[in-house]
Amino acid sequence: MTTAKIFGIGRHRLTVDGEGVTTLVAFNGCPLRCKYCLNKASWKMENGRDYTPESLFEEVKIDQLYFLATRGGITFGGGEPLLQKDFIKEFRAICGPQWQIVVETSLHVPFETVREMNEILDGYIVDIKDLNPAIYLTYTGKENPLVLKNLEWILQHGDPKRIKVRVPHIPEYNTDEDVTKSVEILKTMGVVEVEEFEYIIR
Amino acid sequence: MKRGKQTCKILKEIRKQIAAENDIKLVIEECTYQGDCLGTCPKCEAEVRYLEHELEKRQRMGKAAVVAGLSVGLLGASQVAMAQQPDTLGINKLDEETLRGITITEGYVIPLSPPDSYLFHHSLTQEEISKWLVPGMKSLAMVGGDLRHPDVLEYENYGIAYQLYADNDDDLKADSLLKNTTHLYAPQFEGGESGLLEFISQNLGKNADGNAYGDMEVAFTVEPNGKLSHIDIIKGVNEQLDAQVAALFKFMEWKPALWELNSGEKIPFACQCVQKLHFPMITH
Repeated sequence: MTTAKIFGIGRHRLTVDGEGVTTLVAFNGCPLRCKYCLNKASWKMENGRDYTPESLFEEVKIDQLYFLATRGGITFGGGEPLLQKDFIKEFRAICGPQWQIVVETSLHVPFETVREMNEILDGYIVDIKDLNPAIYLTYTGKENPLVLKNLEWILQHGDPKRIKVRVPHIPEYNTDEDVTKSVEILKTMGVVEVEEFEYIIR
Repeated sequence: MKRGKQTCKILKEIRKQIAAENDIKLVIEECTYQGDCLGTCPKCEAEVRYLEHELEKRQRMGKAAVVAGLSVGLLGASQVAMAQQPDTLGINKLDEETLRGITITEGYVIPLSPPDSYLFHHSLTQEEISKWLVPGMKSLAMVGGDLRHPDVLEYENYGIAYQLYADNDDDLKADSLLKNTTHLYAPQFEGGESGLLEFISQNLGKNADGNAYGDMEVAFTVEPNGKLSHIDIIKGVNEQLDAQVAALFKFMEWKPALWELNSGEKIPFACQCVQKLHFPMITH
């Protein structure tokens, strides 16, 4: 039986995770170590509670009526939700095709994972950090060619309107010019939904 | 909790639409609750269960249940207004209220030294925290909470509030660290609070606005090396004085916050603080 550690479930999110009423399910575990990560607790696997796809469904189906009426559903975040591909696939089999499943992801996951998951996902919210490889490395501790490869692939194999790419202004790591450059590159890649935003430093 | 009320209102509209479309009688009473609203409550939930029950009944009778996509337009219209409000349950957005919206682990309290301060885990409720606060308590330390949140600052019994949190990959497994903590040493300006007030008072000098009157709250982080960062006047007196005080804090060096473990090891940590100041400043 597939299990996953989940450290938070937030109901009734009306605008921030794509369409409709959504419930956010936040997994533990992330390959990145971003300086301003708000959910550092998610880095530690022991901080979460164990769920199976079935037990999660039992908990979140309480809002099924809202999901169906508004074409909403579940947004998996974290942590990095795509590290839990088997869990999400099994969850999709249980919840059926009518619920929208969106992931809030860094796309810093194996290429095979993205290929495997693309057909069962309804949308992506990608926190791209910065497209400058040096900035990305400094900020996340990891390199970004894999992210770009994955982004290119999902753009080519899905509806770009369902892929929102968020570009943060990261204090002390990138400048407004860096952000502008990232946005320009993303647009040339075919991204149509770009959102700049400010990190709030805690 | 304005957002909660707004969420409640929208969800209520969705329920009304489902009821109307399926010819279900649903009487919704006006909510008179004045306290914090999470967007739903037992009464709202009961209405949803009632709708589900009625829809199932109709399906059993061979009638169609009309739900899919029914309220898409409604939500679209409200999204514009909602998007302007802070996201209370955001996870990947670095929103100040985020973690407060989600109960992550069981809460607990550990008495610390000095004995007039306590360490609170973030998931404690306000009621639980209030049980531990006593008049005259000098400090309130939290892990994972947000000192800038009005609910936290509501506890006026402290002169300075502290928030300690992990600042690097190897840090704290917050829970296990808490369990093994014997003492918390709050960050401190050399010379204590009176020294701090004196430092500010002296260095503002003649340039300070002598007529300034009011309370100021300065948020900042004491880094493990004692330097201050992320200085922010969260409650200001006037523009000029706010800028002067913010500039002064940039020059300060503090003794960093320390955890003392059972082993005796002391670990410095980044610590978010809020210092209250009152103008005109009186020093002894």
